[in-house]
Amino acid sequence: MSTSHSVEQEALAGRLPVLSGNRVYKTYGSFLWTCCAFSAATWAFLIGSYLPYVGDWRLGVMGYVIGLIIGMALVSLASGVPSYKYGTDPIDTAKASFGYRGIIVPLFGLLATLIGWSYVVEALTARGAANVAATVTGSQVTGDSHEHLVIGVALATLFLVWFIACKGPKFFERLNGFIGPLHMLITLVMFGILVHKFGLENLWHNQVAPDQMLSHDPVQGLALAVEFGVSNAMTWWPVMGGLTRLVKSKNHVMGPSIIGVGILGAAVVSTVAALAAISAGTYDPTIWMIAVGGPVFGSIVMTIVLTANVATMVVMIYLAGVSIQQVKFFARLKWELLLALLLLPGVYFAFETEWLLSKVMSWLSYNGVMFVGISGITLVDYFILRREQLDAPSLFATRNSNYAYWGGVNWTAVVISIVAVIGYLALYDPVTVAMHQWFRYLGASIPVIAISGASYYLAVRLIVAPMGKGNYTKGTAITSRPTLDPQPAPGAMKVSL
Amino acid sequence: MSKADVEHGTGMMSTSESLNTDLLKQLEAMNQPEHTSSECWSSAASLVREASIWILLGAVLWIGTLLAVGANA
Repeated sequence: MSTSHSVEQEALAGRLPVLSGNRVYKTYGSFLWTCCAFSAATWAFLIGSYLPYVGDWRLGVMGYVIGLIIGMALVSLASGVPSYKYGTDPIDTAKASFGYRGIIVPLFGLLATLIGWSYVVEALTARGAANVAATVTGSQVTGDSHEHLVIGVALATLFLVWFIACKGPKFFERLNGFIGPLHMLITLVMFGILVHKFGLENLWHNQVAPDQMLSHDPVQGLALAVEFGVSNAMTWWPVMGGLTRLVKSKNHVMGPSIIGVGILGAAVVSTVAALAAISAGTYDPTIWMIAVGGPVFGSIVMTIVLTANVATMVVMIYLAGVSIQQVKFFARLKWELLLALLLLPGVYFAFETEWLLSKVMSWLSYNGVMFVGISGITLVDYFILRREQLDAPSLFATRNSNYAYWGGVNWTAVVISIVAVIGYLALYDPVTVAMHQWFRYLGASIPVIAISGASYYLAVRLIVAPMGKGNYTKGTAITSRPTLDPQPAPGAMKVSL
Repeated sequence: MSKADVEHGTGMMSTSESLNTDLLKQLEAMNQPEHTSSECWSSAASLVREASIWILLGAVLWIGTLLAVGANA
């Protein structure tokens, strides 16, 4: 193995900056289908099932699309663009605003998102596969043999995810080139089956029962659906930077992120789920697809849908594997061993899938909330305060870093992130669905992102920069010279992983 | 996929120096013309414009839907 090839491999499996020549996604389609395959897991069916409850499924779908478009555009700017330029993981780029120790805040959110959702998708895949088997054979969806099947599928899924993730992003880029289009085709087939079974007229007019609706005010209902979309997009903050550092061309960053993640992967799939939830009585395609499409055709379709979950898990575990290397211990582990360690708790959850889906899902409802403030801060920091200029060596330095702030923590960013969560929950609680009266105009995420960004701007101008912290006063184009020398010369900066 | 061309029989990298040397190489290469003349290094103005158009589209759809809801009310 040549040294340059080895460094490229190491960069793809670690935190080293990925240079332009080493980027994996070289075409619009390759990044689009990865975004689409990642987004279109069975969670999209789960989210879609909630859309009709805003009062009208058509408002639900339209609001969800609007929220995803706006949210993904913001997240792609905040997380995707800096990582695209510097080839760095979003946690490394966030050091410019949070400090080298302060990044524990976004890192916690990132790991909770990626690892938490990985196990949820594992459970959805396992229970879905067992549901398919039970529906086809006409057996009960309870009992020991059913549970053994769930456990077996969960363990097999974990192994498959580990195996594919070990091969690296080049391998799953090729794989997603098939999975993404196939998943979209299958979704269209499912829509066709619903139209054939229930008729377009019925599908258009059917709604959930009025007593089950979360709102009877169409303006509030639309705001609720937009909020579903924006807060879902916020959970992509840890993901977009991790993926765009692998994109070669600027023209392939924004469009595939919004169309692939937001429109194809989330909105299209969720629309089918919303229609099924009303007309077929359940959003769960593992049940209605076989009931409506027949055991043979339904099983083939569902096998493809559930297999696509593996693609989602692979990307999540890959991104978590890169980011967790902020902890030195993990940076020195073999890639295969590191991935195995991340997936290890999944072995336990394979035996507790029902508990996982009932308990962890509620907790993950707060997932997008964690990144609302972080998105506002990183967006304003990169585009307005730093004018797209970061000091790359400082992203890999500690005490001598230009982003050292106060002992490695930019407390203003940390405090604003925490206050943003509190402010968001005051406007809207995603679990109880309690809404403030102002929620009906702009939802919760959009105003909180704007206020967080504005607060951070003011905090830097009034507190951080005057105190000489964060390299805000030294001009915008300073680049340190990296060195490994423990006693760096003037203008040089000691870097390490 | 191997993470580095160093010995790792025990599952741990033999030295952290090899990782840091590779980091230094990448950071130095980042300032070379191959990377600085690439699209990655150029201004993100076009990305900001594209994102703004998408946000504007979302806003127009939102307002349009509100108007449609108002008209049907």
